[in-house]
Amino acid sequence: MEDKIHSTSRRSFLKGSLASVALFSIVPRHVLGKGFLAPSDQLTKGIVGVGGMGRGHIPYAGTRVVAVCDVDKRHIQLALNELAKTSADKGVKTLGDYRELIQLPEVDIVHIATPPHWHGIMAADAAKAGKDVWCEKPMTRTIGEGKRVMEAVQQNGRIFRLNTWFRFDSNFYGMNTTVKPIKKLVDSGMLGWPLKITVSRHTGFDWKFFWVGKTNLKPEPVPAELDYDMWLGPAPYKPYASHRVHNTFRGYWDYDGGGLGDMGQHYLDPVQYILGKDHTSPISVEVDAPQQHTDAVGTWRRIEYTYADGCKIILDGEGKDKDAAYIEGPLGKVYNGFRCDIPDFEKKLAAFPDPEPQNTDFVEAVKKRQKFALNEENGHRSCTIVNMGLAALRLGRSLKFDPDKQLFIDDEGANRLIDQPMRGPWSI
Amino acid sequence: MFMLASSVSFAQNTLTITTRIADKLAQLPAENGGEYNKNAAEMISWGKAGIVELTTMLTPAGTSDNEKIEFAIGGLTYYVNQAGQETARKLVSEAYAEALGKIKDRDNQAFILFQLQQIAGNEAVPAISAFLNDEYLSGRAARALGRIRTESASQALLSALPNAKNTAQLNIVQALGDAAYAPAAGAIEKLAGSGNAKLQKSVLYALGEIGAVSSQSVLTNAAKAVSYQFDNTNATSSYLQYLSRLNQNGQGAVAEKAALELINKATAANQTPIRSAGLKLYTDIKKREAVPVLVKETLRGTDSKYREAALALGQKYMMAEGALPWTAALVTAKPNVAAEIVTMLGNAKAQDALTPLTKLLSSKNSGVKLAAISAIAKIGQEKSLPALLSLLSKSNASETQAVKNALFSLKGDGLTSSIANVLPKLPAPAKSAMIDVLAARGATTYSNLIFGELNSKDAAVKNAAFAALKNTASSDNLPQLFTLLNSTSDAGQVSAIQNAIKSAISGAGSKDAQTALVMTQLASSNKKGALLPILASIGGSKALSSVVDAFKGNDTALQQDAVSALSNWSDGTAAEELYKIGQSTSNATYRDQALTGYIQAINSSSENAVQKVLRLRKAFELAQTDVQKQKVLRELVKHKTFNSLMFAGQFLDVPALRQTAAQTIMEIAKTDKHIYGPEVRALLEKCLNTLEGSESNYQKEEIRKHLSELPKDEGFVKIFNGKDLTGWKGLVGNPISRAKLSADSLAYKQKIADEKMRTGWIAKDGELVFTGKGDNLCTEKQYGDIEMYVDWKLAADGKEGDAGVYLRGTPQVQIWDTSRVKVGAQVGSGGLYNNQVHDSKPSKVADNQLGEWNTFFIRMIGDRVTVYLNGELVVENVILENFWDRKQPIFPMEQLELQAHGTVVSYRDIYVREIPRAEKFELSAEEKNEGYKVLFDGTNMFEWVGNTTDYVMEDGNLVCRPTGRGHGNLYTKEEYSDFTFRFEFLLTPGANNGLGVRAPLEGDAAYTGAFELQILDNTADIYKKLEAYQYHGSVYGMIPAKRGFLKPVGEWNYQEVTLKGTNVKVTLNGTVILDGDFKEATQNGEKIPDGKNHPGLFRPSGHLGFLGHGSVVSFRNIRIKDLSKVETVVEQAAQKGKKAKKNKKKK
Repeated sequence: MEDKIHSTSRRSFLKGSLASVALFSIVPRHVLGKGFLAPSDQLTKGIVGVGGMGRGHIPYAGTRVVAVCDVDKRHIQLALNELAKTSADKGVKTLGDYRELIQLPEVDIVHIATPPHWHGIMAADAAKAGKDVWCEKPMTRTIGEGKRVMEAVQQNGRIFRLNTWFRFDSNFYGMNTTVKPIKKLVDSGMLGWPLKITVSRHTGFDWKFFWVGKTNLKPEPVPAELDYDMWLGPAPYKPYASHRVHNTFRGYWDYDGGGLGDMGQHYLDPVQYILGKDHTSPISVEVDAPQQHTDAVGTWRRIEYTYADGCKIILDGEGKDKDAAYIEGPLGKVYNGFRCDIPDFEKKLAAFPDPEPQNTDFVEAVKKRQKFALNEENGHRSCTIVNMGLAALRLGRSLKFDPDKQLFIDDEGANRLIDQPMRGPWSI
Repeated sequence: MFMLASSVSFAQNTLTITTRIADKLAQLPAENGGEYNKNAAEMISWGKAGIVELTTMLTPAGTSDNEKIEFAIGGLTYYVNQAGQETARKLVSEAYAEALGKIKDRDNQAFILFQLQQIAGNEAVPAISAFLNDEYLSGRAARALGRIRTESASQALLSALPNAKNTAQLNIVQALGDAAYAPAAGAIEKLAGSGNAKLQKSVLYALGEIGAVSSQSVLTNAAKAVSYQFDNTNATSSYLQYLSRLNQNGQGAVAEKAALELINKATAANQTPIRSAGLKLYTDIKKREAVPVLVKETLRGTDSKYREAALALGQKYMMAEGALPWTAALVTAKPNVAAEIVTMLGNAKAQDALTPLTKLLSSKNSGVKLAAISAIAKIGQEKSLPALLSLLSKSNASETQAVKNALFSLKGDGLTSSIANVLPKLPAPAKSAMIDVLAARGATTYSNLIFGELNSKDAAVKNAAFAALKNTASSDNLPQLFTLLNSTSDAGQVSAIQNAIKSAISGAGSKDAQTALVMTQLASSNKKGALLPILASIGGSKALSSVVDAFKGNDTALQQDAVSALSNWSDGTAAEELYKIGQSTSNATYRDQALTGYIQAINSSSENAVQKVLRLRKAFELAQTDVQKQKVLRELVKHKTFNSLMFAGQFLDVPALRQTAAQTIMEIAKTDKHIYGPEVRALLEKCLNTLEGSESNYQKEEIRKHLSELPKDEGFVKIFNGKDLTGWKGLVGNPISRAKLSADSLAYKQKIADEKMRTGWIAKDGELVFTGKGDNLCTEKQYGDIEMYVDWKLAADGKEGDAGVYLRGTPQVQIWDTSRVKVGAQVGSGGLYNNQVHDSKPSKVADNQLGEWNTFFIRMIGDRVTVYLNGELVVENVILENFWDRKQPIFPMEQLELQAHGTVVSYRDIYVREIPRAEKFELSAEEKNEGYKVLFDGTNMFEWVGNTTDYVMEDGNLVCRPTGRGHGNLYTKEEYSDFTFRFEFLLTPGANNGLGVRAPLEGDAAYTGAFELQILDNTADIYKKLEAYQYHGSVYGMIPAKRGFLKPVGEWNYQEVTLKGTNVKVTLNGTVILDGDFKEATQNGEKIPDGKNHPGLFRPSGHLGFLGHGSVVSFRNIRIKDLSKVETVVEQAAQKGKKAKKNKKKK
């Protein structure tokens, strides 16, 4: 009860949207950091990676930027220009090594908006440094890294959120509704079971097949403003070429996995939620694709996942089935625009209970120390689907998966992609 | 002989490895899994030497192209690291190991070491170890060895450690950690505390992963030194990893002791994370036995985060006795802790906690009570409903809210009836909350309760009741709702009632019935404006005019409602009205609404892309602001046609529209490689300089790739420049009369025609307009096979509109006003109007109304024409007859013409693609002399009749592509008795066709004609059991042909057939496979071997025909010598070539 009384006396300092958050208990600042007290109760954040994506994190509401970090000095300058537009964000620290940022006592939340090959290490390190984490998708580049992030976050009692939101907010791609009524429809049983979910351009998703890499890159001199060794971090050293970094890194296996790697979690995380699979993973993945290059990511035609209960996810890269339903069950289908072949389904649906409410206010989750709706656990599971697909794609074969052990079955080669050794001294 | 052969083959093998590698590389990357596996298996069959050779072909980056070699090696690597490939894996690994010693380039060595990281076993250890002390490659080598995880691989790492320095040392330590190699612990411990933070990090990481008892002090001290906080060496994390590994390595007791020490001693405020970690470790070791400790730690924990950790673990490890230890603890717990425990039990859905937690509903502590409300709902669902509802008679605001939130997701069927039972007696705040729940559950059964509360004196209840109308009213309530609408003035309430009507009316019968219902109300209502949105939600054309009338009236408020209703019309029927409003209004808001509504209407209509592009171009004319223009351009992206791309291209130079136009162009281009030509190319190249934004690097890359993959021929070329008549000329005569003119007189007549042309045709604002006076407009250029786009428009007020597009100087693809029923124009435009034998009418009407633009896409290949009008196929592969001389086929090359037919017509966007032609077949000099006549030369099907739709021309071939299951028969126009017939044919697997002779044009030619000579893929399994006289070349059912002389399926065969009286001779690819007399073979027709009736057997003459049997067969180079006439021809030819030619023409 002490906490609550304490918070009431501090609540009068709150401004804006935070004032509407009722009855939370603020953890004393000295527990979070090293005895530092911010001038107001607004939570603070430090952003690691302020390229185009990271600069997008500056205006996320309810928090204030106090530090930015990047291995490219130009990015830092661009971030400062952006910050200069908001008078509240003065005196922001600029850093080139994220480890300095995560140790700043004035930082409450660390935003990670680097390329994915850094996500795992940074998220785990930030958790170990006592910071809450807001991490860009995809959560991690390998399944092994995801497990380690989960451990680190839970061991250190941190709040983690992944930066995709379609499982609780925003219009859900081609469906023209949030995910809530979709989940409600699935939970109602009106569609029957098992379900098949098709993710293709005809159901509202773009696989971004132009996010591919190039072969035969010519070595180029490293620009003076870029700390290339730190940019690579745990990734194997390869001679610098401008197409490897910044806007075009998504086309290389060392850092990401093309459209599936970079958009996949946006598309597949809500699927896990809709199907109620947040604590498990599919048991197999089949892939139909041209052969992949070892360095540069290419395109694919179809990837199919199957769960133990027969539910399926179809990633249709070719857009082959023009009339595909987004969700197909034995008793009904749901199409783009949340159309359903069950007559009058919306009225029938109203009689069913809503899905359990989700905790979707990150600032509140941090203050109340509650798990955020999309956290290290279900985030890791949905990223696992992405990484299963990438492994099958890269290897050019179908794979079987054990969702409990989180290992591929009878495939040492595939398991070598689950745990990929890092360039020292980096490790999770 | 044997010895010799074997030594030759050995020499060939060594010779061919290099060739085989080159051949294989050319096939990479594999298109699919099957090809991939085949390639890999083949590469493995090269053996070690072959793979070494392949690997050593890598060249330093930037010097030449490694792509294919990398595909080969990478593919091989991933292929052999799957189960069942152990032998191959070892072979490839050995080959890589050997190649490592031969390759000199560092980055290529790195590439091979990465491959070994994926597949290496013990066999590669020595080769990899050679790189362990190399600054540049030690990391690659160490990681490859660390991944092998065998004793010898790890031992190799360990033995390299003493001599390793700097980066190499760090890499080896890290890899020993990756391998969790226990014997290395001692050596690594000695490196601890070196002062080098990077090395220290790797040392602690490795020791943490190994988990040897001996490392305890090193790791404990390192973590203590940083007070169990994060530092750059990750000491704390490594320590925790170490403890967990100790437990896994069977040292649970040591780990447990360390964990308890953390729990009991790391109690400083900033040590909560490590203390929580200790608790987790302890629990991981003790599992359910840890619960008493968890309960105790929860109760004494002063730090909420520590309690959170304990409770999370508690939820995971509920004991066998279930929730009891936790419910027991509730008695002594402080209220805030009690609330946390309750929440945890709710999350755990602990059934045995339901009763004790329900009791907590009467707790005096608000936090506990709120937690209990949520928890018992989660655990008990419908069972907890009575307890929850009973709270409502006395609950405060937050309790009411908590009950309400819980009920939204409560499962069970009795929810709404239970709420309805208690609702009337509830106090106001609870009542409005429960109305919200009834609404959320769509409780139409209780709509009377909701209506009853509309007059509530309590504002909150009243508002809730109005808001609930939408979900609880049904069509039965419509009269009440209409009355309510008439008597309500509060804007919020009006909107609530409107929403309720929109929802309820869907249950009131058909759309027409719904409309009628609202129209009746409209007639008597004093609030007409409020009814318009309801009409909009129903949609359809029935109500349209009344809404339009409302717009035209003088009531400004009603006018606003009308525009708003039209722009929200739920289907496409309001499009034209919206367009008219947009055009005529001076009110900017109306115009914007009209435009938005018009675009929305296009969107929701079921028209095809071509039609939608025409409409969006109209919409663009309404757009005045940049925002509006961008909106239209963005909309165009959805409809990926040639014209939409070209239209967007007009705005690449307008600063405000540049980016949107570039995105639109790029998105359209990339989806269709058939959209190409110099203008398209120029636009895409311009996009390369235009595109901005974070995606632009990929997009530019993609455009470059797309450009490089476009077909190499020129593509669609603009033939009207929009400004003047460059490239066009006037009409002189017709192709035949022009050919007769001397160059001088043609030039003279052309000059006069050109002058006349300029009086009738005007280029203006990108349009080509015929004013109604003069002759056809002709291209200067001559065209053969083409595809073309052309937009045309007949004048809105023009009566009797008529025009057309001449192909090869010949009328015509028809354009006319479809209201001209007298002349038959109701069939629509697009037909080949002057055809007499073949279809002259389009298959459907696809014209837009007068004054609107239409889009033609015309394809002409050989003598066949296909026309799409406004995206609809109206003419499919129909022969265009030669209007100027019906005895000739259509000219192979001639000018395009736009017809002048006395009425005003406009054209725009004329693009023509010339299709490269296969070379026309010509008789050899010898055949000419012998009197052969060409029946098919690849350019036309003039000599043929019958099924001219299933037999089509493709690339100069005559291809039987049966559309149905039908027997597609194609006959020569003329009849023959004795002849020599030469032709080539290409079979597809299982193909079946036949050559009918002396056949009439009706019936089954194999029987009604003399006979059928079989054309068949003899090798197909399905034909295994045929009779001898059914295989290729046989006189079907009578005389068998020799087998074994067909070329493999997919290759062309050459066949000659001679029929003289009753003698048949067939020569296939130079071998006579049949030479017989069918009169003899059938004993004068008395005894036919297949026992069937062949009534046509002795017909003296008839047509030759290809008798299709539902499969794809191609023919080419078809010619015939008529043996009944041949003597005359030869004689005449011998006398005078000129006369012979004339004679031939007469045929």
